[in-house]
Amino acid sequence: MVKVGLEIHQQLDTGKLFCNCPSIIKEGDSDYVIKRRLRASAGEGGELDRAAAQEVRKDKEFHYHGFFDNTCQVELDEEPPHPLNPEALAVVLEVAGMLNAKVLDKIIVMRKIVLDGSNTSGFQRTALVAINGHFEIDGKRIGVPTICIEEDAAKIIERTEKFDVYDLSRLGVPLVEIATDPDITSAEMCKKAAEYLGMVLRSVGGVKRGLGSIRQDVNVSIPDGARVEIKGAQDLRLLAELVENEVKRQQGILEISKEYAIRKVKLQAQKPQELSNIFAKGNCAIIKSALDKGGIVAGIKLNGMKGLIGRELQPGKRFGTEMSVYSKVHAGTTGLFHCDELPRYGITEEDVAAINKVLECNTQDGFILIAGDKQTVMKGLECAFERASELLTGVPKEVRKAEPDGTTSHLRAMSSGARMYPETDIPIITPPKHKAVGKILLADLAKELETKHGISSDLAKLTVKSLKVDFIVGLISRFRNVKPSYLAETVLKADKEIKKEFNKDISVTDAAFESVFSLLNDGKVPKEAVLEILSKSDKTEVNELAKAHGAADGKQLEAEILQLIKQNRDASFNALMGMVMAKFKGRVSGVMVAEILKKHQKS
Amino acid sequence: MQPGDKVEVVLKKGDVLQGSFIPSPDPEILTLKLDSGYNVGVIKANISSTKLLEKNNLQEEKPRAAIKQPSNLPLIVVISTGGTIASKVDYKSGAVTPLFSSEQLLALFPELKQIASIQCVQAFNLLSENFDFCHYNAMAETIKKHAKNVRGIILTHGTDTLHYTSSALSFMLEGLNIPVILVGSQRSSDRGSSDAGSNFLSAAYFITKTDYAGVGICLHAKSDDGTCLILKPHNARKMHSSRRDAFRPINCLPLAEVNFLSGSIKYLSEYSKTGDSQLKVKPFNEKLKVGWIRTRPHIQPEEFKAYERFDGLIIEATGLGHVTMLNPKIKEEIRLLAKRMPIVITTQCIYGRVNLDIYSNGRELQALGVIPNLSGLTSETAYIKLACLLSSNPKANFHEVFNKDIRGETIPRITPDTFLW
Repeated sequence: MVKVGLEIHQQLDTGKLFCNCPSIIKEGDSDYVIKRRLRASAGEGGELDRAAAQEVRKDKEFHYHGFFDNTCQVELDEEPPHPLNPEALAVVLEVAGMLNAKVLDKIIVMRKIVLDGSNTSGFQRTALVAINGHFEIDGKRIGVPTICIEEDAAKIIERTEKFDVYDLSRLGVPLVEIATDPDITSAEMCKKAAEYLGMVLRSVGGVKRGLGSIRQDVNVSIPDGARVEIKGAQDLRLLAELVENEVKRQQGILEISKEYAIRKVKLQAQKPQELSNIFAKGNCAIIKSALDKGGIVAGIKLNGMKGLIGRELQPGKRFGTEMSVYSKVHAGTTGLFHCDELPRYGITEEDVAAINKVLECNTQDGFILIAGDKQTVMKGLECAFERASELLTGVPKEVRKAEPDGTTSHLRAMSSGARMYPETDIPIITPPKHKAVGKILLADLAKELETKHGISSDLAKLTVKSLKVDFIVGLISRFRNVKPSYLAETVLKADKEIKKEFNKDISVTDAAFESVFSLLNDGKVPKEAVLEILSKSDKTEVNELAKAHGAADGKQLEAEILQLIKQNRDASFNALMGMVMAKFKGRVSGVMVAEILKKHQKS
Repeated sequence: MQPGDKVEVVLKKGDVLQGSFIPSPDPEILTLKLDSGYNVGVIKANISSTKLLEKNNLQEEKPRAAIKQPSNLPLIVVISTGGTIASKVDYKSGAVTPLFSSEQLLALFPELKQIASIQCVQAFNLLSENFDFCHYNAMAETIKKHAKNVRGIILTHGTDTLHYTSSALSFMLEGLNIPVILVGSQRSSDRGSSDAGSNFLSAAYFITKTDYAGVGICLHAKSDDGTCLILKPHNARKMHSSRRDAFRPINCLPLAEVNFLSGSIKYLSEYSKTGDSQLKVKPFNEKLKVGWIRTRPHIQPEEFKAYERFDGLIIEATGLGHVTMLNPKIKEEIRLLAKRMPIVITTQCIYGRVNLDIYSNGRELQALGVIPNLSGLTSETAYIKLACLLSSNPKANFHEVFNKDIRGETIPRITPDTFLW
């Protein structure tokens, strides 16, 4: 059975975690650029973390783009951190309470070494706040071993050969990190668990909303497989697909390694062979372009691998893709060709035969080719070979990146605890005594809206997902004469309806809603006038607008209706109704007209 | 329990924590490093039981194998005095410990192996705010001891008072024939973003390539990584509490700029070159008392009186060197002090020169017997120079000698490009 754990990172809607900058994300031309480099510094006796070692490249420069209104010297690593933002901690403590976790006596801020440039300091500040929480999905208890508070990293803008460009806006934005135990046993349950945690976070409030404000990582393992961490799913809908595809990939790798074992061969290290001669006159555009630039094409034999390299592991991704991505990440190659996809791409049958000859491949042996400058090609072949031999012994523990199509690709090795050491600039924190949680879960609120206020299930769900949920609940409790579902629907949909009916772009303010509903509640405007009044509320006061729509005088209305009935003796109820409504457009309520009509038509 | 022992802690609420024991400065708190790497603190009163799972089997850090250094490279002696630059973080406890062996230094900055052959000496291990004149004397003696047959000396130093030390060493080391570069850092070497390595490498490049003879300071030129400044010893100041480029030249230009990626040097000022003079140390009188008053609105006469038993005094005055002359008691205190000791007037403006001839207040102050700092020295260098002069000849006519040049510290021309450089 598959085991899945979730790790949710949610941005908090407070100021930054270790300085007084606002957590606003800006785009456009930055106010300044600072250029920096990072060094691996664990050479002094500390264990060098494998992931950290892989990340650092001595010759790489980082360009940090910043704005003066959302960054200060702290983001630039030019000033020590300020004390941890108590507002952000308060939100995390609320989250801990909602997930039944126990807050630790003392919170110790740590430095997690990160050398890819996304943190100007070379580390990310993070602290464990609470442990051993839990929640339930479909009756199954899911453990929450840790809840952390941490700072978000700078956002990558561009990667080039010589330097990487980062935007500093996001650096230091507080995050709550919720990790679950691998208690989730299906892709579907994974999606539900992520949805539940998202709902809990929105219930607490104080969290950012919108794209990029929440990121889900999942770790997936199958029996005989390995724990694989998948980073950066921004879309909940993708989660289930990611899990399914990762299960397929791990199963595929296990099958291939079993099949390979049956072939009774052992992958042997081979020397890469240059094959440029074969392609001197070839039609393969990729190889030709590399050769034209003074590069080479070289290949390596993978004994006994024929037919396995082309095996699909995820939709559109093969065993060969695993090798290709690995050498892209670790050697900087642009791609590779493998035996199972050839002849193709302008590489002919004859070329393949010639390659097989040079590499001394028999019918069971496979090969891969890489083109480019010599150094990259040689390193790339080495990496690809390393990856193949790694996969043939089983699923490697690693961190993979979530792709938008629901597949994943290799990112880096898994990091270990050796990555962390204490942040000596921040004194140990004693969390404030945690008060009982006063927040109601949005899921419970939706139920209450349904049962107590007669709002349909769909509208109730829509209401609690909206940023206006508190506002709507307030309106419902204040304006008892107005139907709750009408209140909710109007607040949620007014802007769209106005666009449809009056072709006007408007964002109706809370104040305008309040005034209109107050008048409606007191019977001072008819329901029919609400949308029209709101549509003009950006230019004119609601109370002013309402005068034009003031409810028609009851007696006058009755007299007019009698008159109409007399004049149109043959008219049907509906026709009469239409006439009255047209005459008193927006000033009378349909219910009232119908009542009077019924009374007099009978008589 | 010993540091590093693997333990299991059961809390009264029932939760179980497993991790390595880490000593805590607070006796009420038990600190554990969990396998995930996080440290957590638990109040001991909340623990119901503790069990030892595994004794710490980590060995003490093995002494590093001696690194063979090529003998054809120029020799640089590194004298460590403490501070951020010369420390490393213990990844387990987070404590900062001194770093002083050549092996440790080369392991931290492996590029050094291509630049120079390194020999490390530890003078002491102090943060620079703790320095007294006795430390200057010790440093000067250590430098003298190692100055022969070396291309130059790097002195690692905390940044807080680094500019006082550079001034002091420059005055003390008469006939210095090699570059002695003070290197500090503003970000500790445990972080990937540390400036320690680049500052150190820049100093090493500079020493191996220059014919400069004298004391200098080497830290970042900008907030960006790429270049470091070599500053003259007297006319530099820490102008920011935390930035990498905190050290700036005052009233002059830097001596040079070093690109620490390419190792190239660009000279920005004239400088004194190596010759064949004999190195002599002119020590500080360690018993000397030199005071420092910063004038300001509402200053009280008692503040001046407090220095009556001192050997010298710096008055860091406002603007061109002004002190209130409306308070007769203050005037009288200054007049009395000036009879007992040299009083040097400097400016708290930091940039620019003192001139007591412009306003009547200045002229009245001069009439009380004070010495204006006419040569554009920083207040810090004026303080060190006065102490230095008092040490070598307490009976000197300070009105005559104070503004005379000793080591190129006086600035006859302040050019317009020097302000806020």
